[in-house]
Amino acid sequence: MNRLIYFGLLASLSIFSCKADKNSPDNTINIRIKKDPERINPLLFPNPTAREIYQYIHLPLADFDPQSLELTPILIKEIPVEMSIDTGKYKAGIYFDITLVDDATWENGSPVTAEDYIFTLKAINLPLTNAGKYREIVQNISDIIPNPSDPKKFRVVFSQDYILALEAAINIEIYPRYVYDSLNVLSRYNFTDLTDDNEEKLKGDSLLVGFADRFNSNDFSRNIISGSGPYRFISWTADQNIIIEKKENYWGEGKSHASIKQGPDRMIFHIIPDELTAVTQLRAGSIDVINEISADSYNELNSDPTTKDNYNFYHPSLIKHYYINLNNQDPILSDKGVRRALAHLIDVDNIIQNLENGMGIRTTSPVHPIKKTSNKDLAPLAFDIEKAKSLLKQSGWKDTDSDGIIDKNIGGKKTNLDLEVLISGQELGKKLAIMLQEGAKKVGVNIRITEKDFKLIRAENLKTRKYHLVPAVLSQDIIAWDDLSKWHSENDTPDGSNDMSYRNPVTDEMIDKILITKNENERINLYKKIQEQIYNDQPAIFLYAPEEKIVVSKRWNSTSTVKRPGYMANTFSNSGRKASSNN
Amino acid sequence: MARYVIRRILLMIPTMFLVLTIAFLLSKNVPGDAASSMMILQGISAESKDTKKEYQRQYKALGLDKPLFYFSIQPDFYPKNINAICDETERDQTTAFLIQKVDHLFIKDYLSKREIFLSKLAKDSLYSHQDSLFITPKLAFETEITALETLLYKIPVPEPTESFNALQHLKTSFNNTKNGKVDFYLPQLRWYGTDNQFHKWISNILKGNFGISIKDGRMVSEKILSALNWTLVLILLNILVTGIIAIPAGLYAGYKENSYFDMITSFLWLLLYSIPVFWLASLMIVYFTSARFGAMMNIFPTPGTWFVPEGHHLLNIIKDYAGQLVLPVICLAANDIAQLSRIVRNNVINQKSSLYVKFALSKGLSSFQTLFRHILPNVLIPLITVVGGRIPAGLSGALVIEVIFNIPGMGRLMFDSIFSTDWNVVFGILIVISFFTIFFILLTDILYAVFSPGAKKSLG
Repeated sequence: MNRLIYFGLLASLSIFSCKADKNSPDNTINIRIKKDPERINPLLFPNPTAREIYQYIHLPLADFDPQSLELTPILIKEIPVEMSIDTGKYKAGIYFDITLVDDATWENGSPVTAEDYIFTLKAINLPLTNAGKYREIVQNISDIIPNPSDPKKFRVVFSQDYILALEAAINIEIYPRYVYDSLNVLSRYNFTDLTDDNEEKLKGDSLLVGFADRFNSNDFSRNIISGSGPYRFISWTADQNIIIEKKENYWGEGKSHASIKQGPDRMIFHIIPDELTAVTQLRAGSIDVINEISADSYNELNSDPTTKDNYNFYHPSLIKHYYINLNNQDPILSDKGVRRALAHLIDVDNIIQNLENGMGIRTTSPVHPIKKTSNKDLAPLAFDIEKAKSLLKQSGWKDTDSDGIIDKNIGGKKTNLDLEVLISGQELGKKLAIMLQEGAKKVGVNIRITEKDFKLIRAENLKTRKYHLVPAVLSQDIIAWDDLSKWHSENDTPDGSNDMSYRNPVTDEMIDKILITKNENERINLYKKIQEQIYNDQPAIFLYAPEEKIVVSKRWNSTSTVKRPGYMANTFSNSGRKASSNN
Repeated sequence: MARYVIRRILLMIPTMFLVLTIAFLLSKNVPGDAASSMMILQGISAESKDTKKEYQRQYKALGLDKPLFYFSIQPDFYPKNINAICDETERDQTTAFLIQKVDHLFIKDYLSKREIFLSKLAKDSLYSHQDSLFITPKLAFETEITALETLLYKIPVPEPTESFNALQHLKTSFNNTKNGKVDFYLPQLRWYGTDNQFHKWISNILKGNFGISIKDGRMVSEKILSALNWTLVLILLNILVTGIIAIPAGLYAGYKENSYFDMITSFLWLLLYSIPVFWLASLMIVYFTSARFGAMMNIFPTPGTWFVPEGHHLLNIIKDYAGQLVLPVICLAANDIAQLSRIVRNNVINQKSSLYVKFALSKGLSSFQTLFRHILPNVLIPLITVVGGRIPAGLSGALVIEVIFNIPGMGRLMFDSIFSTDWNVVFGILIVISFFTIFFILLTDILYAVFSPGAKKSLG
């Protein structure tokens, strides 16, 4: 009897186990994404995972070129020139005259016009929609005036000149009015009426409330996703996959801009959170592209003879860097000498070598090293125990009671140099804290490591400034000018971004000046001076900028880019190789 | 029997209500709220000038400004409804003062005077004054009364400036706050009626509306059903595989107590039981889904790429993806086989010495006939409880298995929803699990009563 059962089991196991990986058609690319993007609506939910998909569906008027980091036209003929306004209602303001390209069309073949641009900006400006992130940018636009004789032309007016005006006017994804406002509700309102000041009045307008409810709804974030990009949305099965397909007779055919190129016929984004599973899929040939993998997996694939010849390996620098937040308001850490000494106690090069397998660049300031504004003259603070010792001695710290921990009299009270690092459970944070703890021990500094949920750290420590050290990451899109408001004392409030409580009037003044400096060279100089000031003050410990790790099957001719997520699958072409499979 | 079943069903209602009420109140005490989660989803960072305004807009839109429950019992110096403070920092700081027994009216006055003082300081550009550079801003964060006292009198503000006057008002307000500390208070019962968060939420639940997920705007019921499909597939296959392997193995091991078979299976089950599931799953993926360790090892298809449209029947999942489900089911079943097999074995050993077995043998039945006809039915009765408990436990999902094998089931949904404070989904799952747990306990009891003569008798 038992034998029969076991025989049956073995038989069914072997039937089940017949390898049945379904290979995708030849011109379909399979991409792994780490999590479900939740909503694909760049104006409402601009999350990095969603961007991996919507970058092929939605286009802005212009975007930053990944190589030059300059704005380059996509839906417009040329980058508009800033013009001053000398008279009238917007005196001392500026405007841009914008002309859309003639052949740009939406999915239904209708042309992209000024009407679509105005609709998009009205939808953002309407305080009832969830476009809070862009509303702040668009708020500076005072009016949009269509050209009555040419639907492809319009003027964007700013009542005040400011540094990000051009970016605000042309670097926002534009939506087709006929899809997102089929009832043409917003055309009944002026752009200038849909502002925060009128919020209460607007809330009482049932037409607008109805529009906002639809616009914010799930429908326009999961079911109806339409733009002027080279691909169209096909389907989305939650937590499984998202499929997009190349548009036929696409208007961008033959154009040179990377964002409007068409590559694979179909892209399938597989949602696979676990790295091991994703790497196994890659080895099996079910996945062609994988990014954000650990240095260990990346190196393993790159050194394994069975895989290394089948894949291209990329490690572009994305705009992301790690640093340690220091509470400058704390009685111990308000001393610059202590902050600098701590910076000397972390062997950052060792971290890059061991945790990132050498794929990372040292940073010395809040500006990413690949930026033209980065101050390359600032030398990274070396791992130097002796230097740290001497800095602490200069600041008056010594072990008076021979307990192995240095101390000092602060405010009439003997205070040990005892600091707490708060970590949220991320592997890097843990390792950083341990390395700092080991280094600090050698100079008589006691480091305690506490692990808690990051939401708790934010609510209980960062917001209330009841902390010493918290490792953090700064991640940005490609932008021309870095926002340094985090380092301005104006933002040293419980809700503000300056959670280090860094205050320096000189830095503040320079940050303010950047906003009104039009000359590019002067602005770059200001950026460099701010970095120098921050470097000298060391309000945070700057660590390194990791490089992204991307593996792409050689089934595709591919390249990497510094633009998130580090590659543009629409620029890939089929190499003619068969799917590489280790199965 | 019927009366017993009805009584048990009626008991389900207060039990579920209690579970939900406790979970609802607990959820309100975790850091962060739905409004903050919404801000994160919308990409609104702390750098944004509109953060406060957007937070308050979301906070009100989500009804978080309403009282939590129908009533509250709080000290009499507390405000009527602290949730009505839409500014997150003001709410947190008010709470911090309330804990120090300061009357809410004094707190309100102090916080507004402090706001005025800080704005005047900025206006007078006094932050550039080197001494006040670090001392003054601390005011914005400090809520400890003892620390504030020292701090306020250290602030160097030159006279005569607007800031100086504002500081005098602030000091007066602080002294009132300090003196307004309550030494004696009484608990006060406050009634809020039905305009509260719990009422709105439970009313929707009773209408079958679990709400929408703040994460992706989908209906909660739709998300749960989709995940439930996957989890049920896993549970059913797990029970099937476990039963097919564990029951015969346990029976035989018990029947041949201390034989080689018994010793080998005991060792094997102990080994399987002690291997952590995540490790077993990782090993299986690494070794059995690729040819890295030889073509012979490449047995199973690589799991994790699914094309199952939502609303698809669970049988279709099994039909289309049986191959990919083998490994996760093996990992899930490994533990259960070990456990169940031991239970069966021990029960067989116990039953073997029973009088009815000896009687059956003496009647001339063979050992196998005795085992299958007489011992097996008695051994299976306790298994009803084990299996009945396993189904609802499995519903909360095998998180590790679901993550490693990329299965979008209940465990992953619950985990993701908790970490993004998507409470509508968490509650939805909780209701489903509570319902199934209570239902299966009831079903187990009924089945037990039906099959076990002793229990049947006691129920009348």
